[in-house]
Amino acid sequence: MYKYILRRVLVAIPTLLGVTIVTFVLMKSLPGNPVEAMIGERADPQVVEEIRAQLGMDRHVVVQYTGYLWLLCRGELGRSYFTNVPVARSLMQKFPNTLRLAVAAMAVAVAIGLVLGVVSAVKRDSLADRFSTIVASLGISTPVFWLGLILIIVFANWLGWLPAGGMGDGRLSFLVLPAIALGTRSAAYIARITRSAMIEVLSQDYIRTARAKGLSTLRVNLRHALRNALIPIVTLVGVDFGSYLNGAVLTETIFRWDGIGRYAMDGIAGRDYPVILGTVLFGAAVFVVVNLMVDVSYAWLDPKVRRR
Amino acid sequence: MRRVLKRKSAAAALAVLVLVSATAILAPLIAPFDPLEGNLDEARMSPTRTHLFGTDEQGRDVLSRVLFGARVSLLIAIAATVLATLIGCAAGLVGGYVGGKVDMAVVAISDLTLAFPSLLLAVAITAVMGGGFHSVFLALALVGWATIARLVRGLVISLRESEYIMAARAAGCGHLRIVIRHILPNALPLIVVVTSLRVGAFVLGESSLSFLGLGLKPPAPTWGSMVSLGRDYLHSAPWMTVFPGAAIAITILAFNVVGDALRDEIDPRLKL
Amino acid sequence: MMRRLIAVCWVVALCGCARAPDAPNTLRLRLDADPSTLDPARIVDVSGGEIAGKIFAGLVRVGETGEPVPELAATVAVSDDGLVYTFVLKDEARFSNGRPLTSADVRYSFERLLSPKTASPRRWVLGRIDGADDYAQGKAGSVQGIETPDENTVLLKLEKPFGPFLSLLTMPNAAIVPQEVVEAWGEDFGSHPVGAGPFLLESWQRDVRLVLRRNPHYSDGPKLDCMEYEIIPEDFAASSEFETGNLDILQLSPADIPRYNASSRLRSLVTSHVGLNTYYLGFICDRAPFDDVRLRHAVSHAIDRQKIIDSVLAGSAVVADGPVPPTILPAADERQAPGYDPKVAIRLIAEAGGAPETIGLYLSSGREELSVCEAIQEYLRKVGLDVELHMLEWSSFKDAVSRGEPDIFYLSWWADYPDPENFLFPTFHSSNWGSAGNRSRFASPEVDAAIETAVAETDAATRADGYAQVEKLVVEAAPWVFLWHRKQFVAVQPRVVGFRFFPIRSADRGVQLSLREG
Repeated sequence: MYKYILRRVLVAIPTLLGVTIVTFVLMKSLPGNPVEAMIGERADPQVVEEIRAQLGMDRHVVVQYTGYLWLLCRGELGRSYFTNVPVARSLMQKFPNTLRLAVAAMAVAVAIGLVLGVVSAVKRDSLADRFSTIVASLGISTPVFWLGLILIIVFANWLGWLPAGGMGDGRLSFLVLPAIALGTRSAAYIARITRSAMIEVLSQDYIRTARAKGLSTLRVNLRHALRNALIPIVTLVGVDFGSYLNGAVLTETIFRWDGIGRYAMDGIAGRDYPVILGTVLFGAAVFVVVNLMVDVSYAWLDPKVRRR
Repeated sequence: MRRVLKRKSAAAALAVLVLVSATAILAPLIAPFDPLEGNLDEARMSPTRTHLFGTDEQGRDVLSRVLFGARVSLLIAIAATVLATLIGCAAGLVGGYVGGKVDMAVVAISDLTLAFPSLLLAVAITAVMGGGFHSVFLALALVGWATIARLVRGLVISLRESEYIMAARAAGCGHLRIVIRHILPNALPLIVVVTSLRVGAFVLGESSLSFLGLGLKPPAPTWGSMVSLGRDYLHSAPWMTVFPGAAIAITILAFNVVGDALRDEIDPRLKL
Repeated sequence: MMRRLIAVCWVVALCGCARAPDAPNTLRLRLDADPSTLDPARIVDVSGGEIAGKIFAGLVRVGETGEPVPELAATVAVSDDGLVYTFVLKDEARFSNGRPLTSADVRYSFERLLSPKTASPRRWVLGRIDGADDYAQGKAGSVQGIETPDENTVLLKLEKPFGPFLSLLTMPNAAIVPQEVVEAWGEDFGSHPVGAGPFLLESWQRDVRLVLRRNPHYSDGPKLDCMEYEIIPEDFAASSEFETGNLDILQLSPADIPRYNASSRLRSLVTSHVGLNTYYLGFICDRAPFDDVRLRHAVSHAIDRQKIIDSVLAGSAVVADGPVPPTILPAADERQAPGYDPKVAIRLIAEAGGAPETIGLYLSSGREELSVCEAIQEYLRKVGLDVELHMLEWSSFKDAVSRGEPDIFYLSWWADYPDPENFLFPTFHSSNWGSAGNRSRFASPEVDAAIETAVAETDAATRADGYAQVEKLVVEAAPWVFLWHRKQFVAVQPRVVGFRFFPIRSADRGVQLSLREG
C-alpha cells in the first residue's frame, strides 16, 4: 500500500511542475501591471522602475521562473506584491476556513443526498420519489451564486434567522447558509447516484432471497443496496471535495468567507503573481492528495481493487 | 430519440429548450423594450403590468434584458460545447486508439488541465484574452475538453479490444477506416450523451464568468452580470437578481433533464 | 511538517476563528478592503490611511477647521522667506511602546520615506525638502534640508517657498516611526506597526478583522478602549450588519440611500457631507479627437450631471463647477463650468467638424462605475456621439490610461491633504503626465505658471486667490468634464457620541468618539 502511495506522489511531481509552467506563462500573458496598482494615484516613473527592479520583473522570463523554482525548493512561496505577507502564511491562515466550509458542505451534501436518494429508491415512482427527483434536478441546475443570494434574502434579511455572511466568532450559525449553498449541487448528484445504484440492486434476486429469509427491509436496504452506491458516491465526494478545497470562489465572495478561493481571485485581479502561483500550486497539490485519498478508499471499499 | 420523447419530463424539458431557443432567436421581436435603453426616471421599479419583471437601476426593462440574455448564454454555451467536444473527441479517439506514448501525452495534458481549479483557470484565460465573447467560450472550451476526452478515451480503449474490431484488423482494414467506420459510430451515443450533459455545465460556466465581470462587455445583457449588478440592490430591488438567476436555473435544468433522458435511453449504467 | 499542518488544520477547523467577546466601550466599524500594509512609507490606499491615521502621529495633523495644527510638535514656526520650518517637539511625546520620541526619530522616518532602498510611491510628500531628490537618487548620504540641532528641535529647509508644505506633513506617510522596531521587524513592519498615535494595533486577522486599542502614552487620550474594524467588501452585507446592530458607523452606498431615506427610523441616523473629491471624465488631450477644445466642451454640455446624480447615485453628490471641491475653495462667481445644454453640444460638434469615429470610454470594473458610464453613454448617444465602453480590471485600467489608450476615461481624484494644490498641481501641471497624476496629458504654459505662482505664496489668503485664478484657466481649457463631488452619507447608531465627519479618512484620529452608557 505504501509503495503505491509513494509511486503516486512521485508521478504527481511532473504534473505539479507542469502546473507551475502553465501558470507562469498565463500570468505573464495577463494584461495589466501590478506595479501600477500598487503605487496609487501619484507616482513618478522612477519609483515604478525601482519597484519593478526590486520585484525582479525586469529580468528575463526564464530567469524569473528558475528563481521561482529555487524559492520552491527552499520550501517558500514568496511574498505578496501588495501586502508583503508571505504567501505560505496567508494560505495557512485561510485554508482552515476553506476546509471548514468544505467539510460542512460535504456533510450537508451527503446527509441530504443520502436521505433523498434512499427515500427515492425505496419508494420508487411514488410521489416522494417524483418530488425528490425534481428537487435533485433543481439542485444541480441552480447556480451557486444565485442560490447564495436567494438564501441571504430569505433567511438573513426577511426572516432574520441566520447571519448574512462573514465567519463571525466561529459559531455554527455562520456556517449554515454557505454550506447549504455550496453543498446543494453535490447533494443532488449524490441523491441521483444513490437512487439509481440502489434501484439496480433492489431488483435483483438475492435481495428477494434475503427478504424471504426474514431480514428486515431496512437492514436489507442499507446493507446491500446502499453498498452498491458507495463507490460512485465516493468518487463524487472526492471530485467535489477537491474542488471545494480549491476554494469555492463564488460562495466565499458572496458570504464573505475568508478562504483560499477568494484569496486566489483577488490575486488574479491584482496581478499579484506570487499569490497566483502559490494558490494554484497549492490547489493542484490538494487535487493530487484528494485523488489519492479517493483511490485509497476504493481499495478499502472494494477488495477486488486491493488485490491489484 | 422518439423513445426519449415518450417520457413526460424529457418532453417537457425539450419544450422548455425549444422555448428558450426561440426566445433567443426571436428576442428582438418579442421583447417589449429595448434592453439597452434606460430611462433614469423609471429606475428600480417593482414588477408592474408594463414592466413584468420590473426595472433595473438604469431604468431598463428587466424582462427584455432577460430575453436578450438568452442569446448570449445559449450562443456561448453551444459554441463552447462544440469546440470542447471537437477537441475532447479528437484527443480521446487518438489517445485511446493509438495508445503508447501518444496516449500518455493525451492523459498527461488532460490531467494537467483537470488539476487546475476550473473557475480560476477560466478566469485567467478570459483575463489574458481581454474578456468578451471570444474569450469566454474559448476559456470554457479549454477548461472543459478534458472531461470529455477522458470519457471518450475510456470507451475507445474498451472498444479497441472488442472482438469485432479484432476481426476487422485481421481482415486487413486500415486504421483510419476502422476508426471512422467502426469505432466512431459506436462511440457516437456516448458522445451525444456527454455533449448534452456538458451544455448545461457551460451555461453555468458562462454565467459564473459574467457574474465575476468577465463576460460580454457592458451594456450587453447577460444573465450572470445581471445577477451580479443586482447584488447591491438585494434589499431594495430583489427582482433584479431573482429573474435572471431563475432563467439560468431553468435553462440548465432543461438541458440536464434532456441529457439525462438521452443517457437513460442509451446506456443507463453510465454513471455520469 | 505535513502531518503537523494537517493537525493544525483540524484543530483550527474545529475551533473556528474565535472572535473576542464584545468588550465594552468598543466601537465597531467597517473597512471595505483590507489595508495592504500599515507601513507609513508604503501606504497608498484609503483603508490603510484610515488605520494609519489612528496608530501613527506626525509633526502636525489636520485640525478642526481643516488647517494643519501641531501634534507631536509643541510649536511650529515658519521663517519670513518661507524656506525654513522650525518644529519644537513636545517633551511628553512617546511611542506606544513607551519610548520617548526625539528629533532623531523624525530624521529617520523622513529619510526612510525618501530612501531609494524603500522605493516609496509617496516620496513626493517630502519631495520639496532641500536635498531630498539627491538623497532619493542615492547621490547623497543624508538629506541636506533636515537639521536636528538638538533632541527636541527639527528644522526643515525647502528649496523654494511652498505654501502647502504643512498640509503635506499631515499625511500618514509623513508619520514618525521608531527605528528599532522597524529594523527588528524588517519586511514585516507593515504587519506589526508601532507608532505614536492615540491607538495601537492590538490584532489583525488579514481580510477579516482589525482591532485597535487605546495607547496609554498619547497625550490627548481617546475616550474609547477599542476600535474594531470588520472587513466587509460587499455593500449589501455591510448594510445588513449595520441594521442588525453589529456596526456602529456605516458609510452608505448609493444603493442603500433611497432605502434609508424611506425608513423614518433609519433616516434619523444619517447625516450627509460633501467629500473632498472630484469625479471626472478625463480627455486624452494630446491627440485627436479630444485635442480640440470645442469637442471637449461639447461633451461637457451633453451630460445632464444632476440627473445622473439623482438617479444612479441617489442624490449623493453635488454638481462640480471645477476641479476643486467648494469646501476648500469657495466658489468664485466667475467660475462657470459648462452646464447641460445638448443643443450647444450639437452645435459645437458641428463646428469642430462633425462627430469623430467611435469614442472609447474606459472605466474600471465596478458596478457603480458601470451604471454611471452607461448613463453617460446614453447622453452622448443623444447628441450623436458614438461611445464604446471599455470596462477593465483596476490594474489593466490604470495601465491603459497611463499609456493614453482611451479617448475618455472615468476616474475620480480624492484629496490626500486639505489644500487645493492637491487638486491642481498633480492633475494639471505638465510635469506630471501619466501615473504622476496628470492622466489627461494636459499641458498649458499659462496654467503651469499660474500654479507655480500660487503655491509659492506662504500667506493663505493670497494663495487662495492664486488658486481661483488657476481654476478659471482650467475650467476654460476643460481637460476634464467636471462631473461632481461625491457626498458621503454616514449612518451612525444612537449610542455613538461625538461623531465628526472627516473628508480625509487618515485625518481622523478617533479621539473625539465615545459611547453612551447602557
